[in-house]
Amino acid sequence: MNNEHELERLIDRELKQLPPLRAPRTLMPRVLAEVRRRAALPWYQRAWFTWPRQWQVASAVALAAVLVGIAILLPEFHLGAVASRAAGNLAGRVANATEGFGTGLNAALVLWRALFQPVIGYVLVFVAVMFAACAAFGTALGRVLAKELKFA
Amino acid sequence: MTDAEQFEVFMRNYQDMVFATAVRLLGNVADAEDVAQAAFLKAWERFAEIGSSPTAGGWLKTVTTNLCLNHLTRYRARWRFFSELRDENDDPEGGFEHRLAAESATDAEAGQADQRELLEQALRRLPDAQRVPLVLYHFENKSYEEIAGQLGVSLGKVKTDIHRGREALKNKLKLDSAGDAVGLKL
Repeated sequence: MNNEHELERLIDRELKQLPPLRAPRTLMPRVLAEVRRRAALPWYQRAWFTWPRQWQVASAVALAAVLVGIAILLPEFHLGAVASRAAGNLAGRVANATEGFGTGLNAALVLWRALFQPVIGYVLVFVAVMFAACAAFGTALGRVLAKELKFA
Repeated sequence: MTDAEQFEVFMRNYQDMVFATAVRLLGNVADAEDVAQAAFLKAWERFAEIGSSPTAGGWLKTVTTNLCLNHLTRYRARWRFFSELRDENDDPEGGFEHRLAAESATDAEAGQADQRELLEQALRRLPDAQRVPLVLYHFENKSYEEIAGQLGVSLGKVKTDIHRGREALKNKLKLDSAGDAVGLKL
């Protein structure tokens, strides 16, 4: 017999010899109090499968009647009309949104060409010069401070 | 005898079994009492069907086991049962063996306390991933395959976790030269 079986046998025997556990004394009063509270509720506030049989049958029949009524009283063409109207509305909204997006894009392009495109080259050169100036100023300042600290 | 009186008798017959199943699966007395209450309330709702049935005990045990597994899955943040990646090293408290060593002082203080009670406590202190399949195997007599199916984990993981749980409990037992347990290490 291998070690795993020995171990299984040992643990099984030890666990099976454990004394039976006793439920706490508080368990039964807790459960019975809750049972009494639930029993005091009117039948229609309890779970459906605890309702009186005749009410279970009546409620099932009523539910079936409602479902059948919906199926019969709602003619097919009404459903078709509602569906096509909904589809039409959706398509209209998509078309409007697309058109609005195109108009906005055109306006942005016109503004870009009229205002920004002629000066964009100058702006880029200005930014590059300012960047170089800042770098040169920072380097010079660093050297001066280093000399000051060295001779301090 | 009224329904309430019959139910009280029913509870007296089964409350220890339901509570023992719950406390061994959950490792916690307070949670076990909550689950036991929920199981008996389910029994009350179906008391007309199961009250006098010879399979009432099995039904109650199944309901209790399922309620415990749901409880562990829902309410325990440290529950990582369904992760195949879990390793004992992930245990932020340093693993079961480490905790047992830390608790040895407490165990020593127990002195003459019932050694079986200490084994019961050691079982409860096992990580959920080891304790639950171990309890299902040794107390509920389920096969490895049934446990894997019930817990939704691989067969290999069930076997590994059960083996680790047994090893941890064996380390707690004093063995004689023949390998039989003669008590518990204090």
